[in-house]
Amino acid sequence: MLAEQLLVNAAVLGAVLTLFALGLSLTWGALDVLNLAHGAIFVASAWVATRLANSVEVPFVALLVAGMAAGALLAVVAELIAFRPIRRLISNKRQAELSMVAATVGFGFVIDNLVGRATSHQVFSFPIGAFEFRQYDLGVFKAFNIEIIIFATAIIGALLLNYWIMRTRQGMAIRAIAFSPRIAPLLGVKVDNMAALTMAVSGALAGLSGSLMVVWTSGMDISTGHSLLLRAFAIVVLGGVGSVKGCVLAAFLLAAVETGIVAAGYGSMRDAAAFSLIILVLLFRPQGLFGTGRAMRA
Amino acid sequence: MKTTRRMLVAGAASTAILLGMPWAHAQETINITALVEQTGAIAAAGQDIGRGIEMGIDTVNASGRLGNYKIVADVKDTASTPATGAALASQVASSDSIAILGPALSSVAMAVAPIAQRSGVPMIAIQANTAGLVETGDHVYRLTPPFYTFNGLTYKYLAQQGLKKVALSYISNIPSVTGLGRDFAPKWIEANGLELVAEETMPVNTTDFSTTIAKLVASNPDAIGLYNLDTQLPALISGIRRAGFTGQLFCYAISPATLSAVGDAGDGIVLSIDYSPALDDPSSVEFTKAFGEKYGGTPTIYHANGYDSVLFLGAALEKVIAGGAKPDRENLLAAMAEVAQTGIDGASGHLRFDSQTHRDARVAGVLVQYKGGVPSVLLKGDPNVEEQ
Amino acid sequence: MADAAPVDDLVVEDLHVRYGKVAAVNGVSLKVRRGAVVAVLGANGAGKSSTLNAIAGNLRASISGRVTLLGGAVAGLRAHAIVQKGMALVPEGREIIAPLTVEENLLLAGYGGRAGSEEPRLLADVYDMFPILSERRHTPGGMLSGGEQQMLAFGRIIMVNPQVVLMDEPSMGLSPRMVDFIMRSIRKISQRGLTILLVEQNANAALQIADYVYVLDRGRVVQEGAAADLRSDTGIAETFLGLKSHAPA
Repeated sequence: MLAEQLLVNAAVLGAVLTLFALGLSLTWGALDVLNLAHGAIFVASAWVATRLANSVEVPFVALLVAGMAAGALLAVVAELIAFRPIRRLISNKRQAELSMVAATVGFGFVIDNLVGRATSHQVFSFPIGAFEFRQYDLGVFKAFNIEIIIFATAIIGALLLNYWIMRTRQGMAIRAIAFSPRIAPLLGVKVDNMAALTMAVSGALAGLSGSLMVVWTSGMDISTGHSLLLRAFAIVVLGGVGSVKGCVLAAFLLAAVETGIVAAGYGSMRDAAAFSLIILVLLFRPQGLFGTGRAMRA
Repeated sequence: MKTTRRMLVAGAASTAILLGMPWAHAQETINITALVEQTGAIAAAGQDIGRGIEMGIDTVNASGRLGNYKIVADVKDTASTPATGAALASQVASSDSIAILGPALSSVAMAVAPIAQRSGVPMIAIQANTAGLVETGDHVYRLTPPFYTFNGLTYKYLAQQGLKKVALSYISNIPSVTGLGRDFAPKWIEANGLELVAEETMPVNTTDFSTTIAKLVASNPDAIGLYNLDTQLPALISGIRRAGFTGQLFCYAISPATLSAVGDAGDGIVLSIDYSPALDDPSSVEFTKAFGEKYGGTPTIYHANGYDSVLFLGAALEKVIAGGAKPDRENLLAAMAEVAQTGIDGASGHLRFDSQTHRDARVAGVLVQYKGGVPSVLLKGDPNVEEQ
Repeated sequence: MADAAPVDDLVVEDLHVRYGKVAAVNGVSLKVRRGAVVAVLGANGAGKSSTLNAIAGNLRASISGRVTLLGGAVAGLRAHAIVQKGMALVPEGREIIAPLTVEENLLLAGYGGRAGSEEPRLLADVYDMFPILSERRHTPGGMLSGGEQQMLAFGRIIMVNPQVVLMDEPSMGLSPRMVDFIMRSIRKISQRGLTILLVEQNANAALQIADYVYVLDRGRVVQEGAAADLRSDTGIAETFLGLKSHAPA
């Protein structure tokens, strides 16, 4: 019974990590920006959703949409005030990338501070009743509705994202920009617009995973974002930057490893899993499981 | 008529002279520094401590016990970082500040204590539960009794309720909390005839507890103890209840925000604590009421700890000033040692000091239970012992 | 070929390009009539590429001068805006999007350019003109040969559906047989009604298909004229183009 339950746990954890890490992988792969504010955006979006829930009574789906909208908005703000000016002003690619990462750290810090202030650094959560928990007995194991929702959302989200990147014109444009931001404009592609769109999607993913997680854990605070960001970083490195397939696999792999470590009684070492993973991958296969250098792929 | 005119002139002259004298109405300031974790890992607690200090200073200044003096606190943010705390402490050493209040985070306090000791600045740590703090030297006091001095009360309660099997979850990398779970709990469990059936540890930044919860509940305990950070409690409490556990929950600290977040799931949870709004000691009641009037709402233990630290400082300063001495570091330290012999009455009730170092606070403590977010006292500690 | 009222699709006046202190283009003026193939020739470093890329909005340098495209001013506009206005660049080295397939490269050009509802027809035209692209339509661009990549680059330009096409050294790195094929392809593109301005180091190849020629030296136009005339003027051919005298085409 316990073993099956652990499987459910790992699946749900993997799903949350998947949604979150996909957003990080998207912007890193498409725009060469390692968005270290992703965790802060995750927390801030979840907070917006809880604020809405505490003010008016709306269906749960509306709360998720609000979280996604908040995430998308914050990400686009980052693009407009930080990345776009840097891209314009700094012609040296390496320098521009470093400056943008630094900008994301600053942006994340500001968001964290604002949310921290608004919440007095306390836990924030949905009000009781915003979501009705129900448990389903699926024979082999039991699962809560929220767990099923999270798992389904992650799988569907990954599939949709993959379709968007690989099959639509916008996806082709994004892959083209990922390969060469210089050439895409020569074909009439509006790089600025595509960059903003990419950031918006990434932010929406952060907001979606945040809103779902705050239900699942009955509350979070700004430190949740930091912990997730580290693991997302490990996942993207392991899966290969820009690879949707790699990201999903790596997320569930990390979730399985962490669950196993805790189940075996070494709970105090669970962070070591993420750290060790990063180091091992960088030593032996720096491009990750499915990465082959810069570009977006399935 | 001549007499009246003379009296008027005399009156006017003496008034003029009195008004002219500088010491007649000037207020002297006593400068102290408060090192508070306003940002960083324990910002939530730090903010409350800062507010408690502020209320304590206002209370002491308004009481008139310090004569012409008033306390002025320079509040500095340690950012929950030892290096920052140490740097700030060095600055205090070369300033005109005569005392340090705080820090609250153990690692920061341990960085500040040697500097305070070396430079002769009396230090009144708040919370900072780590072992070895006050042992740094005679300038280092701690106004919050360490967790282990009153948390044993919980296990007395469990035994009284006829419970037997205890499952424990605790943080693996905060020494004071880890010590509770790893070193003291087994002692208390044995002393009260209980049985430890599960033990789960995790680092402080853990956000996912599904596996931990599954294992705790699977051990079929009568009571589950959660020695975790307040921010981790919502996930743990709601998860444990969702997993079907209906037994007794206990912890070492919980906030109104968490209780509100978990709702019914948190009903019945107990914890041993030094301060609670449910305490009925006269000095506690006074504090709780005054806090409500001044700031609205109910104070937390952090507000209470911050407040008590200033009361202690105020009592020592009162002694110095009443004795006609100048409020400086040496005189303050001597007065603190005197006050520590009898203790003070503050938010946490009667606060005395340990019999070894005479610098580490002790209270009787209470066991409170929460129902609907409201605490009530179920058990009181024994004021005649140092460890419950 | 000449219309009743010949119109200049592209007019460049007094173009200057500086990289920091170095002046690469020192006041170049040229005109490209609708439907013509105009070549800009000159030795290495004469400023040909800088001129072309400056016109296309594909250069990070200090640029001054007037560029009029289809009657509208475009100097200072960014590359994608210039594409929308009807002028597209085939850059040096082809610059195929390697991870995208042949078809994806073409569809992307259709998406970003001015194809609109014409896209299916244009795509059919491309596959018609370059059947090998149709055969390899699901091959990633990075796996094509040099010649196939040049075809794809031309295909993309057709998909973008501009009026004016700029080409930067289309024969670069290709075998003589391929160069021939490419030059003929450029002719075919011109026959679709597009106006072409191309920069070439291979003066021989360019003179085969050009109607009008500008010769640059050290950032200035030192000679211009109908291609036929330049072909027969052996003096100029030798001095500026390094060509040995040869019979008129």
